[in-house]
Amino acid sequence: MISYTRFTLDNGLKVIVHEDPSTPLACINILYDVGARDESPEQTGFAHLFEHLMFGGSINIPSYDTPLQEAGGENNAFTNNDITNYYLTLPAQNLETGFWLESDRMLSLAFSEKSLEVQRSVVIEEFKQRYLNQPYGDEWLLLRPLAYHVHPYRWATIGKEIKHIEDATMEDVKAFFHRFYLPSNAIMVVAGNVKHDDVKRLAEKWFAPIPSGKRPERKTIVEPEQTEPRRSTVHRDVPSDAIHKVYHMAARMDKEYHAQDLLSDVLGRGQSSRFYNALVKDRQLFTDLSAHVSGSFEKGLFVISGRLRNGVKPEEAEAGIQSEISRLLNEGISEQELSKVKNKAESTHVFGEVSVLNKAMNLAFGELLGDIEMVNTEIARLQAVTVTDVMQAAKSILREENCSTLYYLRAE
Amino acid sequence: MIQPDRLTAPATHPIDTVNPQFPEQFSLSNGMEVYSLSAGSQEVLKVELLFAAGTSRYSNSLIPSFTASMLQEGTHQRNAAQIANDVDDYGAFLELDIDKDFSGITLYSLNKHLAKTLPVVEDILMNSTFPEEEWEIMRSNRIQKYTVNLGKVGFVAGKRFQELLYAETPYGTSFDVNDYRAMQRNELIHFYQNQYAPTAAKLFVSGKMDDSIHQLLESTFGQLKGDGKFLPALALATPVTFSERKQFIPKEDAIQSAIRIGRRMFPKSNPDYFAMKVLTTILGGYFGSRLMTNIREDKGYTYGIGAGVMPYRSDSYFYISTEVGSDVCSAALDEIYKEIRTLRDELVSNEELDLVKNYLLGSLLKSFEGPFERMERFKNLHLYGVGNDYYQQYTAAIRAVSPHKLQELAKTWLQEDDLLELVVGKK
Repeated sequence: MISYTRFTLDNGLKVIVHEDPSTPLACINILYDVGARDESPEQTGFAHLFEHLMFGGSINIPSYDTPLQEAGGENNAFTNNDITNYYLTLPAQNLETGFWLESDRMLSLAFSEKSLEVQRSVVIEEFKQRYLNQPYGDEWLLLRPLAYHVHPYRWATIGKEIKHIEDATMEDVKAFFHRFYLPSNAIMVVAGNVKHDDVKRLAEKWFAPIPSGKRPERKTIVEPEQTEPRRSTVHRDVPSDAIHKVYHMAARMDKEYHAQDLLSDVLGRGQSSRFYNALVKDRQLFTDLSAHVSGSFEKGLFVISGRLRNGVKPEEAEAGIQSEISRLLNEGISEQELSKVKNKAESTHVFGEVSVLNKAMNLAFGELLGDIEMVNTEIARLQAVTVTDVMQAAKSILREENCSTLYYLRAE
Repeated sequence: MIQPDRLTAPATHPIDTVNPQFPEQFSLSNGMEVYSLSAGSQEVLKVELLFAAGTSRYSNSLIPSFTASMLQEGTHQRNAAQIANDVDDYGAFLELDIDKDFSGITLYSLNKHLAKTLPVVEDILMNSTFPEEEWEIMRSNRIQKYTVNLGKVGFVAGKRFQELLYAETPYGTSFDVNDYRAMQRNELIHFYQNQYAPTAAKLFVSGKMDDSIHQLLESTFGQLKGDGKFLPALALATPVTFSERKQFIPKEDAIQSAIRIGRRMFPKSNPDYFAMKVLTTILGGYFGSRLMTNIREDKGYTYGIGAGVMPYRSDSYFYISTEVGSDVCSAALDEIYKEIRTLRDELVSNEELDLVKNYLLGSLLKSFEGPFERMERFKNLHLYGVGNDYYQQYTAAIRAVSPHKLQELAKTWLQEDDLLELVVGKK
């Protein structure tokens, strides 16, 4: 049970406080409601590039990191298709340093040309390191546009291509900031060895004077239902073949979500899963085969990914996946199997609550998704899923006409 | 609306000295050493059986590694699928880890299920059979994964760097695909029989503890027989002189090159270990470090660069590690050496030193968050031959270290001619 209090400043900034006196630390997590899905198709990778620029100095403070490190703190951030999330931890007695730093960069950045120039290169190196200079690194750059034709999920957070990052101008950077980095578009969670009243006082002092701005409206873009199988084959300089099958599925807050999530666990989570035992161990078609869900805020993907054992033909391996799907559809799953994946999901959740920062992030995600109580109700929702729900999920999702298949093969 | 004074940083307060919580220590009936640390509010536990059976304990370092992994592939009572099921049915996690010094069987379990999950650990510890078929599957899968890894400049560099740095010691044994093929199943079985006696383990338990947990440990592990002791650290030969300090492994299609630079140092018990930690932090141990500031934040050559000291039981090594655009590889190397030279030639300013001291003290405080982290901090002293006052000493040494001391260390330990340099990719 995670307890919390909440208030909203006049400028629209939502603040959540979680008191945990067992730690000497405090953390501040600020989530901005902007991700790669908010980018223009001609300017992808921008939300993530912008995250880098948030460390390049703000209007009154030339360096973000230096004063935080002087106060004994550490920080980081991440961007995904849905959100951009910044977090810091520091000794609780230096909490105000965090408020000072975070409020100044919410007020305005320094917008230094040098910072833009350097972070463009850093992000390009990140693009190379993670997506181009690794075997299989570009799999998701290929899969997204195969599965999504219209929705902005069709590009990866890093962007479609390096050129989009190279082309970013200071004008773009400023426009992005003024559009999205607003108190009314953010959620702040302060957690750890803190008191509600102190957080309230500090929030009023440092954040309340920031102009509210106009919260951007997100245009709903609906991916049309997929009506026929999609397939793509690429050849790359890799030592083994790989197959991915991705199916459209529910959004994070849809009522079907948990059943679909548990279905992915039954099929492909860990060494007691069906895929592992049937296709990695018994039939030895794959060296690795797993299933998971993307968990994205809008309609997401149910993902099956495998690396083929050398010598196995991709068609044969894919038929193996199909046969496990058919077996599940025809024979169903047992109560025992469902209870197993529920227990795993429950303990994953409980272990996640050991870290204060993790709790802070979950509170922020819950608030953004419109149900902060989900931090406490998630386990009950998982437990409520029935065998019938999982079978319904399987029938509705695991259809070839709902699937995009990528063969990622060794170059001849 | 009144604007606060945004130009002046709020006053900061000194960072508290960490007050480490150490585990309670006792033995089970058969002599197995137990370290038990109770903390946290969640009903979760981490149970770890640790052996001094790391990869340095066998001439083919793959043998210890496969032995550890194969523990969950079958016992007299359970096949691999049953082991996985018996763990997953109760939402537990079983991890088999290995490094140069240690191997561990680790169970994460909710308290309420421990009585069901702990027997699986006992079973794999006592009754593993290393089934032939599972062994062949694992071997061929691992060979395939190894081949994939050979396509990554970072992997190749990390592996080769170890081999060169620790040449002619058990920490530097090299292996390739042929060593995977040469392994015999019998070698695993012998290694298991020799190294995994229950009395050769140390048992670390952390989380929300109570008496019933201790009783469960006793009833599960306390009667197990075996002869074997937790092995002392291996003595390492003194470092070899490099015939050629600059090593290069070309990879034609690399768009980034991996760089590793470093040298062997001294064990954690050396009094200079703390000051060396401060020095390497200044160089490359945090986001604001000199290498990050210069090579990432000023030049944009890399996504990340780091430096530090990595401890083993009877040694440690200094390293710098990065992946940079192949086109800027030699420029990056020049800048790295420039930063090392500056540490030798110029005193660190008090301002920078104070910042790093605060950063390190804040990190130390953070590293004690939660029961599992606290146990890790205990293991980090207990297993490395240093006393329980280690963190007090660390705090005192960080506060006391002077710019002159750091320069002296840089001059002693960071001479360019003594540093091994490895580049994998293009330069």
